[in-house]
Amino acid sequence: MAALFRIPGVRLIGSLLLVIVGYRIVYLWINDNVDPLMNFWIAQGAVYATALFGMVILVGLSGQVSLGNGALMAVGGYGFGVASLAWGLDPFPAVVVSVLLGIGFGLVVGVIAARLRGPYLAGLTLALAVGLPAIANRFPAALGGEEGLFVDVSYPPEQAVTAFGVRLWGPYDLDFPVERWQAWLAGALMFATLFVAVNLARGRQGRIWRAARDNPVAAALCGVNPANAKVLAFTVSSAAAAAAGAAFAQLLGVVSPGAFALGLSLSLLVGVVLGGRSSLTGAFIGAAILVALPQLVVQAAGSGGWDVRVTDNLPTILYGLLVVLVVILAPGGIVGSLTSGWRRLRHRG
Amino acid sequence: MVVVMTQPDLRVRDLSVRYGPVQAVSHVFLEAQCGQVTAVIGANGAGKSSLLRAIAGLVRPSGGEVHVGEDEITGGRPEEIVRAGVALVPEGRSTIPELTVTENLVLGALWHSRSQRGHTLVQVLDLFPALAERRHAHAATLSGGERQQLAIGRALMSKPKVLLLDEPSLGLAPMIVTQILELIQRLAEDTDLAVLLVEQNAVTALRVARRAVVLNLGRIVMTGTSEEIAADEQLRHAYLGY
Amino acid sequence: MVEFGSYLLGGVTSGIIYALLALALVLIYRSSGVVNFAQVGQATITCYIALTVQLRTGSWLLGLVTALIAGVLLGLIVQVFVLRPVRRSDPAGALIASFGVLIALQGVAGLVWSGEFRAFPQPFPDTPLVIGGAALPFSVYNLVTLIAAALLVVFLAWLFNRTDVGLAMRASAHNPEVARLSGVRVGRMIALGWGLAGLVGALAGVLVAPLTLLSPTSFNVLLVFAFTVAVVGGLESPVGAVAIGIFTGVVLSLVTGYTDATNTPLVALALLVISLILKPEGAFGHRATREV
Repeated sequence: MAALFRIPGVRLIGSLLLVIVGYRIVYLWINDNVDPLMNFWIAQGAVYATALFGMVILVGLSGQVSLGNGALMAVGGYGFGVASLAWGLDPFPAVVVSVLLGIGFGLVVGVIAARLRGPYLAGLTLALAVGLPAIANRFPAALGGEEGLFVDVSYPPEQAVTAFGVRLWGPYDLDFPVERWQAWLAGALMFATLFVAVNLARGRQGRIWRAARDNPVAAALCGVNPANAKVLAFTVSSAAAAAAGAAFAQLLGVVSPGAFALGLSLSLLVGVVLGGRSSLTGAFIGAAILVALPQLVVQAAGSGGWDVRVTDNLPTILYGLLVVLVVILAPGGIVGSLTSGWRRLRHRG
Repeated sequence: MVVVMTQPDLRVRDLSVRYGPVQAVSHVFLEAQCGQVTAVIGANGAGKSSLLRAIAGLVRPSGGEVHVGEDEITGGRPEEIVRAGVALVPEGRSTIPELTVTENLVLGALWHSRSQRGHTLVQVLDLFPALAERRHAHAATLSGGERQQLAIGRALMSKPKVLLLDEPSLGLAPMIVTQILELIQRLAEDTDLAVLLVEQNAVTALRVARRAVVLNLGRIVMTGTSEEIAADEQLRHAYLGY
Repeated sequence: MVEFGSYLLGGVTSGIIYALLALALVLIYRSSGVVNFAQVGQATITCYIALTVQLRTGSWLLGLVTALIAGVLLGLIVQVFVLRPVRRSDPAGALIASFGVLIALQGVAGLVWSGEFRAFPQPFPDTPLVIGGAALPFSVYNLVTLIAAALLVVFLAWLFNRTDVGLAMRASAHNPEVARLSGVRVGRMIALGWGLAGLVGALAGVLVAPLTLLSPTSFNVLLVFAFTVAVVGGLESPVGAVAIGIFTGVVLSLVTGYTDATNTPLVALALLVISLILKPEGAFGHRATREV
């Protein structure tokens, strides 16, 4: 399977099929048969996974540590908010606007970032994570200030069905829960992003990124421009983050500085580190952990009768400790450790 | 007639160094006696530097023992080994360019008392007049030869019993190399210091060394006096390339 | 004109605090090649500790001393238990781990002291000092900050340039291998650097706390300012950190004074971006030698 994916044509068509089938499985069978809360979690997981695909390309494949992809999500979120509120666009065109915005923004920051060494880049992205949401406070009229913009979730989703021209989902009825629609949109964006990410990461561009990351001088001698490779990685990652931000806005119903706080950037870092820094499969695992961990804490808190202070802060503490532990004990994350363990087993046998 | 047995100061027994699957040094035995220079010669990649780095504690030997007098130092950490009396001058004029000449020297004896350190400093500066002149200058401003002297001076500041020198001639003019090596030879004889000199430049090394060891692909191919080794034409052709 | 003077002096005061935090970042960057994002997290914890001690005993000074001790200990703990075990071949991992510590510490602060904003009382009035009937453009608080920071900088300069430990620390930072071969216990020197950075950060935290309300995340914006200062100063230059810190403080104070406080994070961000575009290695930094 993995070997087949090295052939460009097979990869393109195969990944397309995979994405469509995956989408149909998740959003016809699972999505229709679970309760609204589960759908909300599916949507949340899809948002994280979308952004994490970008993180895998940026942090894992191109080796640029970004602490600010939450801010890149904010760019997409506010793009979506302004496009749908001020310009009155439908959700799908609004998503396109926010992804374009993400590409433009990623290009600009990427050009600056490509010249920077690790700690400088990490600090710049951190500054973005703290500084960008502050722009909303600076322009309260257009961006809603601290309160944020209230985004219409555009329910019911009739226009989405016709946008594809194909009946991708089941009949819509009046009991149609809003969470199911949110999961649809977030899922569609996730699978679209996955399609792009798989074809970039598994192909020639993936090798270019790795080469430029591991040995920029040798890569340059082979005709690869390491700076361009880094800029492209940043742009792709920013576009993925913007798509995730748009879905996030639609999920929360609001875009505000608080929704895109530093904690969001950390969550993304946690997700990509836990799953495996250069693994797209790891991004799914990371997203699942990001959704599940706070729920587990809430459940434990409920049965243990914990103070609200514990419930509020324990996930943050666990995230921080998990990141530290994984970096020290298993730098490859879950997927990295599994694959290297599997390889060791095969070599022994 | 009274025969005075000199106690060998550095004894290496069956020492091996591996880097993953690569065996850099295999089962090396050698002695560096005090009061003389012992040379380790051999081609590029023969394992000479790995041998010194293993003795000094920069790499962990995969087997064997290293003794200084009665003490075993095998596998110790470099900062402890230098305190036990074995000082390494690594390849490439290892000074700290951001520090002044005096600071570089003092660094070599920070664990000694201030008075003892001052005393040693005077001795070392006497030995290297060029450094004495420039003692307040930053090491970055020194010439290549001066920097090599500074690196050796820093090692001497620790009052070593054994001095390990890794390719001191690298990139220096022949005249300066001769000067430095002759100084080392005199120092060994005058202060009863055991010097282990690693060199790719066999001619120069054999001139100052009393005994020598020839290393090839991590193994000793010959041990003997410098005269014996210099006289062995086959050996010269095969391993030393002249 | 009176306004300008007070903005200027207020800027110098806050600039010194940025400079201290930047100095803490520089101390660690020089010794371990890592930007310690956890620094403000550590400062947050020590600040809460100072607050707790002060509320219990009523003594600001006792709170400060406790915070300084806690700062040193916390710095040592983070170095020994988090950064030391990170593989040396994984510089990205070191950055990520320090960020993880930052967030974990903020969580701890929220858990122990709750997320609500707290005022940090201190005994020095922040009103203009009056001498002989004339109101001066600075307060006792400004003065205390200046003196404390100056004392600390003098102490650090003495430590690094005049003592054996300082020499060993500088050598460990510039060339750990040569330092070890000279008998320096490099691991201890690096840990000591983190401890000192913790001390500096703790002082900065206690000094800045009265200016803002204290919450687990209220120092985040300070991290951006401090990082900006450290980067513009070149990350390796203590002198640069202090000089640029004061400059940045003055600029931000003038921006706040003449326009609006909501502009300051954006101005800092702009300053950082511009300086990174112009000099990716920082104004006081020298280009690192490329390994080929």
